Amino acid sequence: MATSVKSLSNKESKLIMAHMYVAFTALFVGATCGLLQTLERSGKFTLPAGIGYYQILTVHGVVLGLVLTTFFILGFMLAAQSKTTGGLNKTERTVAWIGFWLMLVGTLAAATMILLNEATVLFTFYAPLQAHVVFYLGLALVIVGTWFEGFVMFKRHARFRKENPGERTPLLSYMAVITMLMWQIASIGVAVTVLFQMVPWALGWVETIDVLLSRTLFWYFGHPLVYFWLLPAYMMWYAIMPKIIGGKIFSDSLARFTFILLLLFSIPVGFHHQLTEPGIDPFWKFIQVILTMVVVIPSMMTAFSMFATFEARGRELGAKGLFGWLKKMPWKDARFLAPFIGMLFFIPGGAGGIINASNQMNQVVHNTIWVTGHFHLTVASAVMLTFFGITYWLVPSITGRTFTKTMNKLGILQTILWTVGMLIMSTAMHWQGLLGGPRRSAYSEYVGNADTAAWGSYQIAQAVGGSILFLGMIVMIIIFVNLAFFAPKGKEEFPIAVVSNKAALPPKVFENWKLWIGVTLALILFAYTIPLIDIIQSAPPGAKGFKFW
Amino acid sequence: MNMHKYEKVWMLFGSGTLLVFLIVVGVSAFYMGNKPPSCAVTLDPEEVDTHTLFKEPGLTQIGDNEYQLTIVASAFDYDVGNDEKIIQIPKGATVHVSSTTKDVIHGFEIAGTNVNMMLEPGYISTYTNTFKNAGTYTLVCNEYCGVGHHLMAATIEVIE
Amino acid sequence: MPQPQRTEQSENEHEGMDLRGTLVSVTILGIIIIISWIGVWYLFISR
Repeated sequence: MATSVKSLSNKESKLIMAHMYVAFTALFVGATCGLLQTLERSGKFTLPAGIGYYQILTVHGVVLGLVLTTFFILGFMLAAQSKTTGGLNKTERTVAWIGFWLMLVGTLAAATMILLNEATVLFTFYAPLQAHVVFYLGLALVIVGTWFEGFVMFKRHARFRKENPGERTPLLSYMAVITMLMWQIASIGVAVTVLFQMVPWALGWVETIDVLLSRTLFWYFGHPLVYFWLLPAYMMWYAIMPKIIGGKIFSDSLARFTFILLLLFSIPVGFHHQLTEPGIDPFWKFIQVILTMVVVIPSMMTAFSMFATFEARGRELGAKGLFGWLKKMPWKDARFLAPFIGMLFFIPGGAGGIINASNQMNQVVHNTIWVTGHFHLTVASAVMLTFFGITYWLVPSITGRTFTKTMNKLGILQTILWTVGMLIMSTAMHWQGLLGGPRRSAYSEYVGNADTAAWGSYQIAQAVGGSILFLGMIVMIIIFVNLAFFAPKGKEEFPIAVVSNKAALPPKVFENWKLWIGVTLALILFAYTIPLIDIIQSAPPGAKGFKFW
Repeated sequence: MNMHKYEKVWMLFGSGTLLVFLIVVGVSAFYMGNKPPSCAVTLDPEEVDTHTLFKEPGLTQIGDNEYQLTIVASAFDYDVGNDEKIIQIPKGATVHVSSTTKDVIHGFEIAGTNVNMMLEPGYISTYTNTFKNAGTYTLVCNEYCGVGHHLMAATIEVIE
Repeated sequence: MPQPQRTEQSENEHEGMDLRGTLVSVTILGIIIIISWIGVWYLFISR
């Protein structure tokens, strides 16, 4: 009988697993809603029990885009930081638990309102559609909870530097700090609109709301939100993947540099989600489009680093020729396969993102289902497959179990199902979007013209893809439950990539946090001050609340 | 920090590509009149029906092959000035489209064209489009506005 | 356990690495970005 060995302390294991239980419950609920949506949109299926399409869509977006992501990301980053810095102390754990409970209570409050059909406002909850005040308070509580966990990560990193003066800080800890810094600065925007605009308005303390201001504050948050999803995947790709293939980190310093660039340029770009809105000067829209192209640069660097990591390892193993190194990769290891396919999905995902942000080109795709296709490639594939790949070793390594050959086989199956389902569904979404098919829409024949009738076959394809994805989700839940509760006891490696011993220490300035926060804030002030003043000063009379569901 | 020679090549190629994209869209936007819809004119969202521009929605000819089209959106309807919900425009006509919403945010998308803008309470949204290709186009709402969101539509017929 | 650290600026740690496959791969990625962008630009212009 093998001895159970956990890679984190028992107490930390409990903390991390608490996050994972919430995350995978969210996956189950959210992906089931996704299936129902694609079936309804096929036109061949009516939702049971009089459930509304838009209510299900709200659950899907909130539960997958906010709950699954946030809980998984925080659990993963805490685990990775703890593992590489030498563990969390009692205060750090306690504060993290406070954060977790705030997030969970907020989630349950918001979810209850959605299920009671009091908040059928979708994941973006745009005013002047007005939800029940408890929905807004629930979301605010989730955000505040994340701040607690963020402060733990800042504190732990500072403690490492104090206890290990002059040493290279663990890459995963550094990256966690950057990610949470970006998140905390960004989430101020959504916190302000929710607490100071929406709550008083939903309570009836004020009669109207400044809609454009609210949207601008939301999207100031909404773009870095997607980088909050992406950066943890990059963390795995840079600082864990090399260990899984038996190689080394390609460049520790360049990896840190890309994260600095991502911190600086993820936030002052929200206008590229508002390109077709009135009331914002095209000059400032274009400035933020330029800044958006700058934020593509660290991702270009990441692409190079990833290929280089694989090629270096492959050649080390004797690979010859231009692409011989591909054959040397551990394709049969689900811990490699899932994130690798995630990386491949990011190629069309990123290409689509550049198109979306290209100023007036956005008019071709705005609010069409192309956009939905885009983010199913990025967050739902690149990021999610990476998170699935993390789960295969993270869960057993912290519960003192093993990732068995059988679960590995299931992991390969899950990756294939997810890939096939997503390729079918997302391709159909992109194509239908270019034909003008709108997003966030229940099945309809509109006014019977040929252009809208042509969308039908794409929606059937989305139902096919969606059904395959649903099967993939079920397989993932089976794997998670097995790894958490039933897999044989033993010791599972927590893979941490090794820095090449030829690598110089990263430049000291990389840990000059005041500098990087300062530049981040300066860029935000540059991109937003004048247009925000304009929005506030030129505001029309505000809008009353509406409940159109 | 040192970069491999090939990484420098890639970064040059990639950044150069992004720069070309920015120049193309920038010139097109600021010198060839293709700025994204950004009308700055405001109005009282509760006074749409009495506003000069929106009192009588519909198509009006204002010049040689030049038209003004005003449409008022509300949950869940596009008031195009007639009950058939059809607007007919001659092919090649330049149309100044103006729209707004009486309640929540709506989308304004003439599918298959570049006319795609957000309607926000308190703001007038405008876009000037030349309808180069004949055909029957559906105007759809592409921003969630409530349970009838997918039922908001009208027809734009571009005739030879 | 901290790694042995080099305190002086090291040689370019990537010198001499054969990364031809990487260069070709990212170039293909760049071409995908360019072609898809041109495709949608063409749609915009023609509409």
